[in-house]
Amino acid sequence: MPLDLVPDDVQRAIVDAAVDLLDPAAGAAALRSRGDGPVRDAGVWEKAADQGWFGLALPEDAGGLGLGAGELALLHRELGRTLTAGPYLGTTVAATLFPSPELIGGRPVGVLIADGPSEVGPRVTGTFRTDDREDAAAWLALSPTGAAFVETAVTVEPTPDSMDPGARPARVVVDTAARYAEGPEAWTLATVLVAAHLAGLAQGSVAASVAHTAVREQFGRPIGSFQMVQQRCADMATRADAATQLTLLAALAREPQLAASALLVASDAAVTNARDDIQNHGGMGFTWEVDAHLRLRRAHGLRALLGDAADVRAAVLDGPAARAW
Amino acid sequence: MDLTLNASERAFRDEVATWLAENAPRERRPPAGPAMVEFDVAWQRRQFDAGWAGISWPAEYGGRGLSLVQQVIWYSEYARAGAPTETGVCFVGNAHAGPTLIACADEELKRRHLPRILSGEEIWCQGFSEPGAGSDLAGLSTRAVIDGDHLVVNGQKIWTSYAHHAQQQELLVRTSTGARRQDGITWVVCPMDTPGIEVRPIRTITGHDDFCEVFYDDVRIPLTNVVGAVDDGWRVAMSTLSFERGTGFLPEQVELVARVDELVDLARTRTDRTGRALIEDSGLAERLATARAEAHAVLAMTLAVISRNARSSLPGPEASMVRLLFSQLQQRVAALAVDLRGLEGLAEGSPWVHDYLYLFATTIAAGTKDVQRGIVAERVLGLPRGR
Repeated sequence: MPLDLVPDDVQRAIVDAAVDLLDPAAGAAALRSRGDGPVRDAGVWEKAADQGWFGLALPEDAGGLGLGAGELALLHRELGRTLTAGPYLGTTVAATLFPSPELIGGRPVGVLIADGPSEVGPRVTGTFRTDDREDAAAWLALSPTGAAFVETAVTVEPTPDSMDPGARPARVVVDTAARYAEGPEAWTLATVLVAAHLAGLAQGSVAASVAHTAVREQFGRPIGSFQMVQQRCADMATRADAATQLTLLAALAREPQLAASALLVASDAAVTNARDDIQNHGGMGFTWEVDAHLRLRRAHGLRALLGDAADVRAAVLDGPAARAW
Repeated sequence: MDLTLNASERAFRDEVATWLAENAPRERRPPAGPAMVEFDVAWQRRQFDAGWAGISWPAEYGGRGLSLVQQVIWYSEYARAGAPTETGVCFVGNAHAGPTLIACADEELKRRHLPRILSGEEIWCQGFSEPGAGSDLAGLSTRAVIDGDHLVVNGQKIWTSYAHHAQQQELLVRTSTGARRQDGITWVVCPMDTPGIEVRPIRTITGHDDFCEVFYDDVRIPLTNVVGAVDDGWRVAMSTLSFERGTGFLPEQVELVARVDELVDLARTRTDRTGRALIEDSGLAERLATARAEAHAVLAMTLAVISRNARSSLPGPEASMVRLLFSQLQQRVAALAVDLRGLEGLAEGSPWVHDYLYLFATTIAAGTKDVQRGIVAERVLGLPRGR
């Protein structure tokens, strides 16, 4: 059926495969210990590449799986739900825009976003920032009007650690010729995938709150039976659903304003739900051991990845309302 | 997951858009009184005469018998054409009583009422809420006893929209007291001209008589007007609360996107005292951007509800999440419309003040937002039952 927003059997199988591969407990433990070096779990990364995650949206004759941005969004939502870290965003968008066996096979690509005077075109110049300083073997410079694939001649200057232990931020200075793809497609896809990750975080917070409040007892009853807690959880679920459904709609429509709208809604959902999840866990929510703060940290970091709030607002308000159908 | 329309669906969309562009009323709907009733009925009649009333209703009762996708397309184009999306006097008949009759009534009742609902000859109202039973609908106590081949009704309903304009009422009465409070309720078609009915309009915060109290004093209704069976009214009422499988609010939801567009344009052209465009104010820009993004989200959530309902016979409780976001967003957009217009926006009798005040009803009617949150917590999330 057209005008359908529910995953079909193939799409559900992709989600199930991701659920099998990604281990939220291991991911969270790695984040909690915040070691040096790459945040990516190499074993998981290799299996993801074997399953075709990075070439998912490429035609089969280009070495991909012949699926689309909707399926990619489902995968990246699972990355968020399981707090998985690593350069999945840059690698996926780069492989989709500039297909090659290395990228489809999982050569890690970091994202570069303008951070000062800069130019993204056939020649990339200026100052950028990234979250992937330890990991990237190549770079994808993203702007709303085009994307460039940069393989050489960059200077990476580490900046202070992010509150998100899954990020390895740096300032990157570039001045080189690059493969360039003009048009908003790469930015739109990246925006949708960040929104999907944030939607997954928002859903993860709902699941954690439900699991905890359904069994934690005070005054002789599960706290999840108290109206105040129920109402907070209901609002969390509504935010997560709004973020998820709008992200899927934007992924299918591949339209810049809808993508920006999804990012705005999903950013709010991820941050607010993480805050509420900390509250729902009471004293435990304030501890390092409970994952709630990891989702809060990731949500703040990811919300700022592609630009500040004013940039997102401007993209949402650009032109008349977009139509998805 | 798929948004692509096929060639015949695109052709249908174009046909609908063309007809609506030529036929949707351009003038603003009067907010009250005989002019409002005349406006609503004339528009219903125009749709009926052109064959667009009852898009998804069976053809034998005057409908079009079209698919769910075509229904979604019709509602979307309807709103995009600027056709009236206010809750008009034909709303209960079209969106609630009619679908209930289709789902549960016998042939005689269907043939008698459905064509008249579609043609605008019968205006319906909903006799559900009572002074002691609002969100807690199962607490209703208006009594009916069987006397020969009639039900004899005594009691009172309240918050009955357009009862003073309606010819028919979908009426819930208590016919017995069972083990559960939901047992012993009966759903019956009540002609509003039956002796013993008294209707008293209530003035709302908009200043208009939008709804009424209805009193029943030995009102005799033929048993043949009962839909479903005596004592089986709860099931009948619940069978259509899913609201046409989730499409019920789609016109208003699509229209809300257009309404935000108007406000974005207004904020670009209107300036503050220093000559700066209002949209340069980051606070207003944030409210506008959030409103547009959330209006898109409401459409996406509704599409997801429709998609899920199309797969299952039992509609899920997820529609309560849409209702929660949509009703509060409507109120925020109405407040923005007032705020952006300065003193002009505060003028009593202006459409912006009317909408702003009228939309306080959206988080109360059809279950308050507090009740909707309870449904989400217990039925979507599965949290332990609370009180």
